[in-house]
Amino acid sequence: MQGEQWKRISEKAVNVWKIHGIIGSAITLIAAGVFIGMIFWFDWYRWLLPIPAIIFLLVLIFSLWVVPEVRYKIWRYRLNEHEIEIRHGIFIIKKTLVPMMRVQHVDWTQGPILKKYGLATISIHTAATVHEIPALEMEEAEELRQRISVLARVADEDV
Amino acid sequence: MFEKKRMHPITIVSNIFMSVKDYFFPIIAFLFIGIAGEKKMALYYLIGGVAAVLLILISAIVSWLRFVYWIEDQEIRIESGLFIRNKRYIPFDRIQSISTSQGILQQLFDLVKMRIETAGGGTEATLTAIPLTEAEQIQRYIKDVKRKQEQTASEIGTEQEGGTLHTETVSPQIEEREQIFSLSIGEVFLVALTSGGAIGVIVGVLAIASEFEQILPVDRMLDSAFEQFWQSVRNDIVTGLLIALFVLVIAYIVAIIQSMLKYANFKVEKTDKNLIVSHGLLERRSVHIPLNRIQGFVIYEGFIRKLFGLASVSIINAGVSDREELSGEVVIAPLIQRARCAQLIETCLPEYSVDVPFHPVPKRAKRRYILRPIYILIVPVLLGVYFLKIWGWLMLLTLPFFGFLGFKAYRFAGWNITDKQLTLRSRFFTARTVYVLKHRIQSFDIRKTWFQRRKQLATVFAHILSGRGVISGKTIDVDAMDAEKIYRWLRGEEENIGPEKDKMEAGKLADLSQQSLGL
Repeated sequence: MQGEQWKRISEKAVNVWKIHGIIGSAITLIAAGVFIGMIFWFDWYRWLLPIPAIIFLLVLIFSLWVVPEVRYKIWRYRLNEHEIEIRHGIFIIKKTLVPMMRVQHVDWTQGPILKKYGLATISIHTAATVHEIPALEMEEAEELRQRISVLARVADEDV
Repeated sequence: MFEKKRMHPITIVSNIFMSVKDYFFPIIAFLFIGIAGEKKMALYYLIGGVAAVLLILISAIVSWLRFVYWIEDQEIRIESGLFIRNKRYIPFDRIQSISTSQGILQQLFDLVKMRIETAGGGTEATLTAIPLTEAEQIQRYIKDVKRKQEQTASEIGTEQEGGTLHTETVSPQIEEREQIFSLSIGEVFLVALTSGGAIGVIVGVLAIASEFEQILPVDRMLDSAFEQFWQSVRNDIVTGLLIALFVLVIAYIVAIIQSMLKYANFKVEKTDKNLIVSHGLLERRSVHIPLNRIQGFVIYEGFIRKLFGLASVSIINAGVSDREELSGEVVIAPLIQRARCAQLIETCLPEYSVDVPFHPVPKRAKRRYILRPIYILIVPVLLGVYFLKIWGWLMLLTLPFFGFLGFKAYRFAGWNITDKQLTLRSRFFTARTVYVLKHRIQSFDIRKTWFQRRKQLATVFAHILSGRGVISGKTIDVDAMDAEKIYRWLRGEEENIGPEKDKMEAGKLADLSQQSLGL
């Protein structure tokens, strides 16, 4: 059967998620700064000081070095004419099976960060759930979208 | 025939309205602060305001420019997006209904707003302003294509969900009705007595009472208010208790009367194509549920009801109604002996089997089941012990009780697959058994946390369409191999897989999880 191998998403996903991590860390840094400011301003206990710093460091380390790598290593998908399978997660690994005949439509999305790396995301909609395959090479994403919508339509007729 | 097109430019105006609506409160807040603020800040506010207006204007124009739609290859295709580019292609046979409406803006230019809905009941796409003639053309075209498809598909005899273009199918003739379930007055009373509604009212009353308590002596410090409260209770403990008891009894009676009125004359009837559920004394309600829209059903056994071998049954309905309570889950038996469920389901949904043998979760899951509720409770209980002293120590007693509930949950949890049916059950307070046919499962998940992987356990979820949303059957901590078995069953591999091949597949999957472990 064609397409029976588990496939990875684009390696550039790591970079994309690192950028997400930087944005997230920046927001955490601002929040931590505000918190530290408040500790001085309102004269709260000084032993509270390390807490925002530690939180910020943890967020930084996790969102920049741990999460993107692990996430990429775990991400897999595969499809054949009957179903789509997705496997992803960091702490909780989730494997999902979507029967092709349940697929309603497929979205192709590209945000500014993905665009920079020439990537796109596919979202597969069933009547009740949505499943994303993030950070695919643009052509691959387009091809996948087309393939799934063709397969989904064929599948429906021989329920 | 249909080339790429933009919508009518009036869409820009509509876009502006939309963003004003979305940011209504921020805008009001902004204006308010601007007017009330200091004079020297006025310039900045002016600049900010102009920038915001420009932003709204430009984004309205650009999103109009970027939005194109056309019909190609039996799909409605839409590409849009300002910063985030989006392509949405909706195949005709997924389209459940197309509705058009005219607002004031549309009326001025002979336009319509077209909404495209798919089986989920959600609006999948909206064309804000297109010419009336074109909307009709599109609708006719899609209808024609679908009619042709149906003619070719009719001999296969599928119960295609996106079958017709109209959501409301009117059933003109009076069909023969067969009553399959009803409640006697006594049973209605029992339902009322044990229903959550009574508890709801009690909680409500307590909430109001605590409000009163807050209103009265609130001007003191929190501590002294508390002390005062205790003082007054001690002073007049008998009166206090009597009042509390009286309020509770009244609340309970009100709740009972309420749910008796609601469930009075409860009956379920079956026709060729529909289930009709009707109930209520003052306000009579009835729901028609097309049998082919039923996605599965759920048997609930509440903590107390389970002691008496009682249960309630809801069916999962994919139909969507404007009235929220009629879409999604519909109760077809508020109170029924658990042993009679099979008979009831047999009469209305004969393709399901209720009393299937359940595979239990493995022994090694027992400890996790017992400890899980305790983990969740331990922090609040310890805080309670620290802050509330005696009452806190009493809270410690809840720990063994929750452990016991966990044990019960361990005993109850299980799964079953037959040829075409999946059954998952789980419990905490309420035991819940979800039945679904293979071809009704929207998607299926296997989830493993680190701890589960170490013990070769997994949690399985089956997602089922219910009205506009989703209902999931789940079982926690099933054997990881069993989870894979269900997964393969859903892939349609389970029957024709020999033991040899089975092992191979399992080996491959184990490889994969090892890969992920070895990070």
